[in-house]
Amino acid sequence: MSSWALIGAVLSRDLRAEWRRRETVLTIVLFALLTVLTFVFSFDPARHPRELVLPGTLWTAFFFAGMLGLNRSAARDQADGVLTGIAMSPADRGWLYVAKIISHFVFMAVGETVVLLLSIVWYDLRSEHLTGMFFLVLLLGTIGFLAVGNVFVVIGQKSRLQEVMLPVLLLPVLSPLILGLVEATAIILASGPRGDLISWLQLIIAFDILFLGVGFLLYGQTLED
Amino acid sequence: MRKFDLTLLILAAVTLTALFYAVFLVVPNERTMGFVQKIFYIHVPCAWVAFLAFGVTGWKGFRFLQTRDMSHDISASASAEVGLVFVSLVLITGPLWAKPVWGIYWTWDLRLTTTFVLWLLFVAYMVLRRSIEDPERRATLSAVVGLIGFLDVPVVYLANRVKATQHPAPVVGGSDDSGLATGFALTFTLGLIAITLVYFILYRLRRDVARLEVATENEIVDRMRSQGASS
Repeated sequence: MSSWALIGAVLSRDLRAEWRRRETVLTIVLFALLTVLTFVFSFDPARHPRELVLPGTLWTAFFFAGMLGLNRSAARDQADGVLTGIAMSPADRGWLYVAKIISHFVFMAVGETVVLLLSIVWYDLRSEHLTGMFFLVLLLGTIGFLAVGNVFVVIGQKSRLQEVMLPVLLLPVLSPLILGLVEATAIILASGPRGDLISWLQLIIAFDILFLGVGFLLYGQTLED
Repeated sequence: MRKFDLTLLILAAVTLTALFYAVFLVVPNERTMGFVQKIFYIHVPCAWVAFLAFGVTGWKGFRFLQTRDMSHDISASASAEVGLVFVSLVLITGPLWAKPVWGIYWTWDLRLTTTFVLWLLFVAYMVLRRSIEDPERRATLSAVVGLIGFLDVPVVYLANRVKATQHPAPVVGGSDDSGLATGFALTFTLGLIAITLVYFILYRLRRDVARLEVATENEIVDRMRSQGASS
């Protein structure tokens, strides 16, 4: 089976399973909205400048909702016996990892779109904020999150602590990424200096490349036994 | 106790005694910071050892994934346990120095944040180990986490470099006017050697105890099996 066929098969399976139950996307959208709402109450958008509160709000909402989504779909995969099936199949683990990232990316993108649409209303987000650079940071941030999250969610599922394990493992590792994303988003929203934005982007891209590579190589190890 | 461990122990005892003698009786107080600056001779070596310990955990995890040899897993776990002690010491001695010098115990400066993240990585690693029963599975999954955490530390530090920092610029190996006067430098080197030796002793002892634990467990299982077979 070629890597493309494998990715296609896993992707179509994940998307169809999700279409039937709509559990993961619903979890992500609901939780992301509740997080944003909590932040609206914590830091009143009328009294705090947008570029100070919105970057942290957005990335907290995306990553916390993303973790719930990862846990939800991993638990469902386990219930469906997907992990056993994968363990027995000769499919290349690295490409399986890529396929899992793509399918989760789709789920998270739905949540992110809903949150951004509502941010236009709640935070008076305008077209000059939603530039190509903004979406590039959004894309790179989500990929970085999933690059590590996809490995750790399997590890969490195999531990006694189950879904609690994921944030314990994931958040410390993601901390430089979160910092870079929040700073980069703040610079974009405030139309800040381009040089600073570039150095944060370099950090984010380095993070993505490093952990996509590591995940590609190590994902198989987490699936064994 | 083996001869090598005994030698290490004697060396550590001698250097540690010499370190405390030098710190409290030889090296003069630093001009602006005064007496409190002396914690630097313990604080910085502990930080270096904490990173070294995490490096050993990452490297041993990597070796385990390569060879599937359980002794590497035991070493990785022993180093993490000892490293957690040292990184905790860094987080205690740092604020003790910061309060009189900076006027605050803590600031979310990124070097402090990096150390705190390192502490969290150690804790996550230990929590994971405790929540998996099967030794083989525990070894594999914790090796993956140890390796990812190990690779993450330089990235955390890079983020540190990007953001402007309130922490004093590196005293050793920083800009041209950085560096220590000879007496300070000698004491500092002594501190590095002494604390590193302490780490290696604790690490080796913990590793040997863990090996004994595994051997005893296997022995018990074997005996129970043979009793079950004979009855």
